[in-house]
Amino acid sequence: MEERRRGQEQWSLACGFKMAAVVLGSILFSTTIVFAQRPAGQRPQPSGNTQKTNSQLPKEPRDFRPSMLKLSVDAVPVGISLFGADRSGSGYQALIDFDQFFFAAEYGTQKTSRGELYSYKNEGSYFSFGPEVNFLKNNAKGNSLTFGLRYGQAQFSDELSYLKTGGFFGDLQVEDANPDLKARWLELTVGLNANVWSNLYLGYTIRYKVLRQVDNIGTMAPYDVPGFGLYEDNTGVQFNFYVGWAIPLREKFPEPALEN
Amino acid sequence: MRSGIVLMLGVWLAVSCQEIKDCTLETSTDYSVVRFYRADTTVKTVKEVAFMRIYEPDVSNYNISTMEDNIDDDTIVVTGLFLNPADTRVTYLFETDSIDYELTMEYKPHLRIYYDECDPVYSYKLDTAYSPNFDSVAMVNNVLDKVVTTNLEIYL
Repeated sequence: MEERRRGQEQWSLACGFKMAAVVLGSILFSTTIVFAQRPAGQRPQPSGNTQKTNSQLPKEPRDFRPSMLKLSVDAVPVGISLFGADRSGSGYQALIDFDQFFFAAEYGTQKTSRGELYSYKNEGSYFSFGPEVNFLKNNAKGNSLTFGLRYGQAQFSDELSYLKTGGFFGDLQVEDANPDLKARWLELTVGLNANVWSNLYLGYTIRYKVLRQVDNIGTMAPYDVPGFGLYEDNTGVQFNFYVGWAIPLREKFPEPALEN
Repeated sequence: MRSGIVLMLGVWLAVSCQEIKDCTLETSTDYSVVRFYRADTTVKTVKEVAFMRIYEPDVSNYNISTMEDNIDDDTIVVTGLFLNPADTRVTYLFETDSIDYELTMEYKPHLRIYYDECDPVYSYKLDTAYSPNFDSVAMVNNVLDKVVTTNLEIYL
């Protein structure tokens, strides 16, 4: 009875956390959308008395020199580490732009502990990288609405301790571990990132992860795959909220010099 | 704004489509289903057999109960044989008045947590099964699962 009551309390606590996360996520999502839709930071358009359509304008050569390096921290694992007792982790992302394209690289760690009647521990690190294309063209502020493809890889280990009771062969103390697991997968990403103040950026990424492969599995299947999600699910959906700072490398769309 | 709503709807749909986890949906079993057939006919015919005892020598005082009794309590056409999660081979003895039949199964146990609110479960895949006494043993399905009706066919 006591266990059931404790279980119900934990369930309601977990529900509370989820509700708070949904509300917080919605607020952050709305804020990002509002900032991303601001008209500021557009490429300077040629001025003149005669207005020309885009097709009539001379095509400017593309400049693939990077204009900024964005370094971000993922707020989701930070929140989980602060408020979740059984999970901790961190996530970092670096983005560099090439015209309307980005190259993204991410690194993170994850530590998980699960089970009431058993003890399962999982610990490891992951990284992913890949290109992204920005659909907000000619944006000098560095705001972006991106679609990307990434390759992800994780190196991790896990262990399980469990007393199996009531079996035909009697009670069995199960101790199993996978000391050197390697996982790889592909991610399709959609992200929105907006400049909110000075060089401060807020943004989120939604990832759909597919083609998960895990090597070096022994007699036990892992439950968690750091950076991917659950091993049992062959695909995964993940939400990241990034708080980042941009290091300017050059002015992206300099005003044309005044001619004498 | 419209694209934002579409995007949120997409996320909501993706989350909704995630698999529902329930401990009762795990269908792995820890026993192989063994059925008996006549060896002296060309047509596949079920054989009712009567053993005094079916047991695993390392498990004392433990008889296998019949899974599906047929006509009389001492005759069976099918039985379940448990596999040991701590080993990769198990041998059962089928005791009769005249002869003790022997059946050995080799298998791979696999431990997994189906869902973190459920106990870890073992699933098994049979590699091979053989007997020095039965006329023949055929493996028809190597996966031990509730939906599998037969794993081994024993002809005698």
